[in-house]
Amino acid sequence: MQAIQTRLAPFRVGVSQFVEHATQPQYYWITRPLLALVITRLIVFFGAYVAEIAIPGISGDGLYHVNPNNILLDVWARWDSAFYLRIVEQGYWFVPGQQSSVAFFPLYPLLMSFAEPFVGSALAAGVLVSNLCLFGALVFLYRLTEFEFDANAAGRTVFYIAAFPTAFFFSAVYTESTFLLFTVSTMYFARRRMWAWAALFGVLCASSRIVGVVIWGIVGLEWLRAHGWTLGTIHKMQSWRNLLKALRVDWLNLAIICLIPLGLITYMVFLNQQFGDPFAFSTTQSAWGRQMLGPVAIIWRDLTGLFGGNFWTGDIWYHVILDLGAFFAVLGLAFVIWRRLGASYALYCLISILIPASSGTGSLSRYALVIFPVFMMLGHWGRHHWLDRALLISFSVMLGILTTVFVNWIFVA
Amino acid sequence: MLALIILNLGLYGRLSSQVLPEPSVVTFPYSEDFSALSEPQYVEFGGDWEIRDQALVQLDTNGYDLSAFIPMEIPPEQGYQFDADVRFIGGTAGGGLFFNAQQPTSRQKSHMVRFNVDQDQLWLVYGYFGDDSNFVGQGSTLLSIAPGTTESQRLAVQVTGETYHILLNGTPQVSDIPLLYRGGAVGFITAASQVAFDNVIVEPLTSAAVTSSSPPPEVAASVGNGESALITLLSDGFDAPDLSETLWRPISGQWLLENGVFAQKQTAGFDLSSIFQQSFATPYTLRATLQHRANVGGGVLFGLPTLDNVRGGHMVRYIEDGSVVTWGYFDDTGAYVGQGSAEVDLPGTAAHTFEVSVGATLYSIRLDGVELATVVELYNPAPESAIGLTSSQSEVAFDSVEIQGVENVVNSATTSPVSEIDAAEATGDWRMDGASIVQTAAEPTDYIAGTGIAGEQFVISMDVLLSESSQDAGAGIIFHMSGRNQRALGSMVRFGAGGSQLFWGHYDANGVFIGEGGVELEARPGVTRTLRLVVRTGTYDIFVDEVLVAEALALNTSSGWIGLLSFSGPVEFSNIQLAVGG
Repeated sequence: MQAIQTRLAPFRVGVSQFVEHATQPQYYWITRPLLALVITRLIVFFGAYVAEIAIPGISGDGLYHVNPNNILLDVWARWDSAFYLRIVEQGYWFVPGQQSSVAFFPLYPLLMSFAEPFVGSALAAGVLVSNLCLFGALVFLYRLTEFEFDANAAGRTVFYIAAFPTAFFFSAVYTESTFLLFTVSTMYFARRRMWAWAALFGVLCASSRIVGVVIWGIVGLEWLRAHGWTLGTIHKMQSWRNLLKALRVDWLNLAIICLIPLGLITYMVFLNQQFGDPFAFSTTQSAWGRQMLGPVAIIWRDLTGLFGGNFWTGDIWYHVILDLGAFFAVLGLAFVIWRRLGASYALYCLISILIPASSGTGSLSRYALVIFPVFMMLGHWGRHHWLDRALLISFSVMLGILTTVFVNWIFVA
Repeated sequence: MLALIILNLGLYGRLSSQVLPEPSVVTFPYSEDFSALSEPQYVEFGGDWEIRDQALVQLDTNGYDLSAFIPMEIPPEQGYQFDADVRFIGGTAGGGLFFNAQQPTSRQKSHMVRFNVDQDQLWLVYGYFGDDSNFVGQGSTLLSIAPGTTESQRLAVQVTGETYHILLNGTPQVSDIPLLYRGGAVGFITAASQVAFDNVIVEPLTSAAVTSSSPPPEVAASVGNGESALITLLSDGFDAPDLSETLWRPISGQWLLENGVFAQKQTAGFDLSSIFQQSFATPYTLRATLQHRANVGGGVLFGLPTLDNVRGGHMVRYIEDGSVVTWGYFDDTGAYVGQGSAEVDLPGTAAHTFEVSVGATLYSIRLDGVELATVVELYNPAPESAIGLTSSQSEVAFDSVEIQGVENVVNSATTSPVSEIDAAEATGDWRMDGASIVQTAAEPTDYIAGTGIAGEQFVISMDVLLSESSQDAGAGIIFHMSGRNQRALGSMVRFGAGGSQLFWGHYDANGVFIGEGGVELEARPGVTRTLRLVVRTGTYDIFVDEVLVAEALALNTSSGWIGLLSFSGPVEFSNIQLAVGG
């Protein structure tokens, strides 16, 4: 026994030293995101696994199982995941009038295709890319929040976003974690005035989701703010003088920022070359039954439908509650964010929620997941102990429930 | 710039619209011996499929349900047969056939039959992949082929309107398995094995080629024979007040008669059984209704060669959590050998009825009217066998047991059973003498010669000539015996004391005679007397020289074997007439 203890001694010392280093504040930027990732992923992976094997899920046409021989992987391919998997396996396709894969931007499936040879299947590649991107996103979000607030707020922020009720999408074959990584990183570099890096990640962001190109305007606003021009000082002459000066001395960085839309343009050129329709990603939206009615009409329609149902008998669409809750939460917080974090953050929040809400509320709780300024604000407010506990508990419970719902082929978002 | 370059390279190099090579659609009917192909022409869904040595080979031994579909669309109403030579090359399980696949890119909604190795035995497992792509077994059948054999096996499925049948090397294995999905593609499947497929034929099914279906041919022919009549040989509702008054003999477990059920109360231990102390001539059908009270594991025994243990006999019972029923036999050492299993609904505490049809060499199983297995070979084929009840690790209450069998004479027609008597099997010294039969052994004991006929209601008459040399000589009739030559539980009527008496009674389960009554007769040494019994359900009448001697005597049994009985000898029976039926 003593011999074993002697042999284990160096190992024990090594572990102690590692823990000692890892718990030092200078490593918080990596350890806290890692902790948030591990804890929340344990919840969603374990919850998804148990939910899949314990609950007889619904079945029917189109409710596919990509890999029934590996439940831990299979549960992460539901609903739109099939589009990404098929893009990786067969490339893009576009059939006007039909739901076509051109609606899904290329960055995430491209990363999947890069990873596929190493892990053996598109599904495994998707799950791997999603979770790696989530970790990267949490690191950047921690850094950004630490920059805007402090390390404690940053630590809470990464937990809140990773435990958000729809955060299981971060591990699924969905683009959420990829998009979050590149929006947060773009914003981080923009706030640090590292414009070339911001442009690089902005290009990737613009090629990961249709609203990604919005980041171009956000980075532009940050460039203006960096040079003393803000929406709040638009009426002051000094602001405009600052702007003219910036255009003279920092035009190169502005030109670099203007490369961000190339992410979208590249995809449009590709669509034009492949299918003769550079706006195919928009054309195909009608196949999902979406109409641009504007957010007011859409929200009013859903509110009427919600209150026309019967809460007591459950005769309502449960996810409409989630979606409308997410919509109004983001809308309300956007104004607070404007005051505390600035117009760029607030406009990002508003645009990110209003654009999808213009055609439907069907997935707003998922879209809200990547509106990171909201979580930064919650992280700041989380210094109040009661709020911190309330958010963590309610988020974690709802995360477990919605994960169960999702893997059993019940639509969440 | 680098990001843009990578993005463009990725878009055009990896994600551009691919014109997938359309599989060469083949038409039905179809055949392929792979002699002219260098690459598989099928739609692969997992695995590593190649053409090697003029055969289609799947080489990946790691994955399950690796499949290749023949791109054809068989109409739902089309009956067809799908054959292929299946040769196991290596691995741990086996390969087989896909059919009625609703989409040639996924196993979702398709049927499958393939070889499988379990407990060092080779099985055919069959079932379907449901809406969720998970396999749902419809059953399995044990093969007499050694696992790991690398010889080609000709596996075939015959798909008809509502069912399908499985054949191996031209021999039907399982019939009338319900189809869930109709029409579609066919293909090949492997599980953790390298398997070669060859000489593939998909062709229309002619009515002449359809495998004869349930009930299984042998069982059906014997049970349903037009020259035989189906009668109830045993109907036990377990209403007896005490176990000692029944023929049920517990051999293990804790068996109790209570409130009209026969319950096995012990929840620890396997194959806790009670055997009915009477053999039944095959073919017969056993029906037993049971309810689980604690845990799951109830079932029935049949085809038992002996009355005191389960060795050589068969069993079917619930296993695991009740979602599976297994069947098989106990070998000569008493070890259980599975012959098949099927997934069933969980039994809960509801009543369920096992129905086993036992033929001369085969048996079939139904549960609650649903066929679980057909054409299963009996381990110990015999002209007669016993039945029993069993439970494992569970408390089970049996509500009723019924045996239906055949009587070997034409209804209500009078016949002489002398020719049916097997003198070699009878006790004593019986000799045929034309239409007469003589028992010559003189020891003062009961000698019995079974007629080989069983019955519930019948009329039997015979002329009896007792020996003048023996004052104790007697002769008569024994009926409702537990076995062809086994007097246990039989009722007996005979002359005694040289013909000066007639008495009647019954034998208990141990073969000990219990007298119930008698009359004095006028002694007529050297004179032939006529004894006639009219046996009805529950009662019987006795006539001597056509004079009613006793009327409506109660019977403890409902049916059984009929025989002649001699006490001491010599005794001559003649003019034996038997009319079976109501």
